[in-house]
Amino acid sequence: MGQLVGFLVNGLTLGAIYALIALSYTMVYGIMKLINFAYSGLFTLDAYAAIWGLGVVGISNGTNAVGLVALGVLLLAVAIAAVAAGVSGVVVERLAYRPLRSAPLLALLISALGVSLVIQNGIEATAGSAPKFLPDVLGGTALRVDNARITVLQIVIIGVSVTLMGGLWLVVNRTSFGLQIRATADRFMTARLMGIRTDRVIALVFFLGSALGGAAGVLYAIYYGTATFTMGYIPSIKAFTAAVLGGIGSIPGAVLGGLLLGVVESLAAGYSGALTNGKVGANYQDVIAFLLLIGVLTMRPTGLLGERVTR
Amino acid sequence: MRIPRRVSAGAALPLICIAAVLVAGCGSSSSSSDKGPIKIGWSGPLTTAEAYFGSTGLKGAQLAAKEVHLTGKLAGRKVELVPLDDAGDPAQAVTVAKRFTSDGVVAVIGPIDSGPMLAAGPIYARVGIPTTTTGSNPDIISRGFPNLVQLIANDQRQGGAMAQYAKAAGVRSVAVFNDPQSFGQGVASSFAAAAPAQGITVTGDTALSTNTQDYTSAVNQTLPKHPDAIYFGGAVTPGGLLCRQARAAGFTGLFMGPDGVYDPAFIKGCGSAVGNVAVSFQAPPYDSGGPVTQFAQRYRAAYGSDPGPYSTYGYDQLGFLVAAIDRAQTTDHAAVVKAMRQITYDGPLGAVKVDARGALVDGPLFIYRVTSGRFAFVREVK
Repeated sequence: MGQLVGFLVNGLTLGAIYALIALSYTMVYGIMKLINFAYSGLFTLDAYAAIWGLGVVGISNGTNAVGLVALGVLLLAVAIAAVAAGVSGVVVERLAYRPLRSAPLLALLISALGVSLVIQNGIEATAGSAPKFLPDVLGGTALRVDNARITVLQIVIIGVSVTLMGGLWLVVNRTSFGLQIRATADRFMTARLMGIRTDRVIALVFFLGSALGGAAGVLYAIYYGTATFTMGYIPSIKAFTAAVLGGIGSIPGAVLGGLLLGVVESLAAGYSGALTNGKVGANYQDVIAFLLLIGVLTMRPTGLLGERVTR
Repeated sequence: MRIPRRVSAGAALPLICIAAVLVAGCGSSSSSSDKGPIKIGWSGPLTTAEAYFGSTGLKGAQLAAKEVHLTGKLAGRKVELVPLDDAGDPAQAVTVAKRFTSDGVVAVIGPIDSGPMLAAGPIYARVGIPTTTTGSNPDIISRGFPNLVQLIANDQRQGGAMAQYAKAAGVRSVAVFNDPQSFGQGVASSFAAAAPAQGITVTGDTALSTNTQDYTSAVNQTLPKHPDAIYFGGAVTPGGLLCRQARAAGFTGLFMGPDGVYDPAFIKGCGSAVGNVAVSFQAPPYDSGGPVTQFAQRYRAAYGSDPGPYSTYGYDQLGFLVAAIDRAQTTDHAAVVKAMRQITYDGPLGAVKVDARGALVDGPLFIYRVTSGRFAFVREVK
């Protein structure tokens, strides 16, 4: 029983990170029908920005922080990353997507791929290809449930992610900006006709989405302690598929999809070896997770909560 | 009747340019002339996480190239090392191999890692170019490439040595993990095969997914069986992640690894809770005295930095090739390949000679522990 709880918490932690990135993808897709591949680069960029920022403030690998100080470090890193991310997201939108606004969607897609490659290789060129390491934050402290160990870091990550998602929900559903976003996501042209400045709305969506993705990047890096220039690639692909699983364009769908994917991966890694007597090992976790995804999509092609894309 | 289209000048021009380049390319000399420098290729990781192993290994080889005139071999000809980055990636190693075999180098210091070596092996073998490698997977020898020599103790010895150490440390059960690459899988199964003979139970051999950094669930699955130790077969980055996540999950036993994790980045990746870690490696510490320390001093004098884990192996490989070319008295591939099986080369780590299959005879092997954030020497494996 304890082991199951452990797997669930592992899954929810990783799932929360996937959910944040999935939210970035879903918001941009809902408004522009663009799969913003640049997020894989931005995810990495912001982890590096946070490491650099922390280094400037004097905290680097080797600092062993505990308790409230550690929590402060973590939140500081997330804040640095989120701001850096938001700004980079808006810059990317201006440079790579706005000129192509009236071009076919395929052109936008290729531009997005190009941006992600540029960012990734730019990071490699400036920061080097060897991995960077992060300070140990809250690593040692843990709770025991039965025979599973739940670290405080995991709980903090889930907490921070939930707070960010809650913040996003508030912005989208309770502010006038949010109203504009929802209107543009519903009917693009009509929103413009009604006087909504869609350019600004798109910039805001990019800022919010990138901030979430960036926060996810730094949480991911802190959780694993290591950051490499290719670290964004696979989590971004998984997060995008999670967004599709939940229903692309739907904010609750992205959250649901991300959490579900994380939990399924974790359970698959945890139980597959035991259930099949070692034949199907933990390295098949992605196969199992994606088989499930295919299954869900064949039965419900618009995703679990249905898609909400602008028309 | 169809009117044949005339080829316009605009279309012909690019074709002429391409033809000119091809002709010029074909004209490049294969082997060096009798008096010019002898070109030896070097394939290894100069980028990515393995860059530390690669770049310091290259410097060792470059030091040997500089010192060739001191050995009196090759009748005064210089050695020119041609390094190309294979990023520790099998696909890129194949590209590098194709370049070397078409550019016409005399010999190649082949990929450091087993995966790239196995991938590039057939290409070097097809041309018969003398090749050395420090890829330690035994498959490299069992493939039977006649032009290849493996100048490092292989993984069966590494796995066996670690099993012996584990038994001496009082370990009775081990959970084995591997990153599913040629090297990692090979050395993990060597260990798993050697453990029962030492009276150690292997509770399971788990392959870690390459698509994720999250091994927490895989680790939590093995912990209920209460293994005394974990053996990880694989490279630095997954090793560091696994060590860190195993400690976070509450594992306090011995963590063991092969030469692939003998890198300060592994200790950093573990984080502050490194705990009990033992690693096997094929070179002694640089301050252990004798030829190794002298080598380290010359290296520092030449480069102003400390030698890396494989610097002596880079040095040995070049020295071995030079000795073979000298023995053959020619740069002809077949003659040098034959000479490689005949010579004994004296390097900083001792005598280097290979058996008929191309495997190193009596390669040195040592055990290290991690103490205070650094690798500390324990003993040599006899």
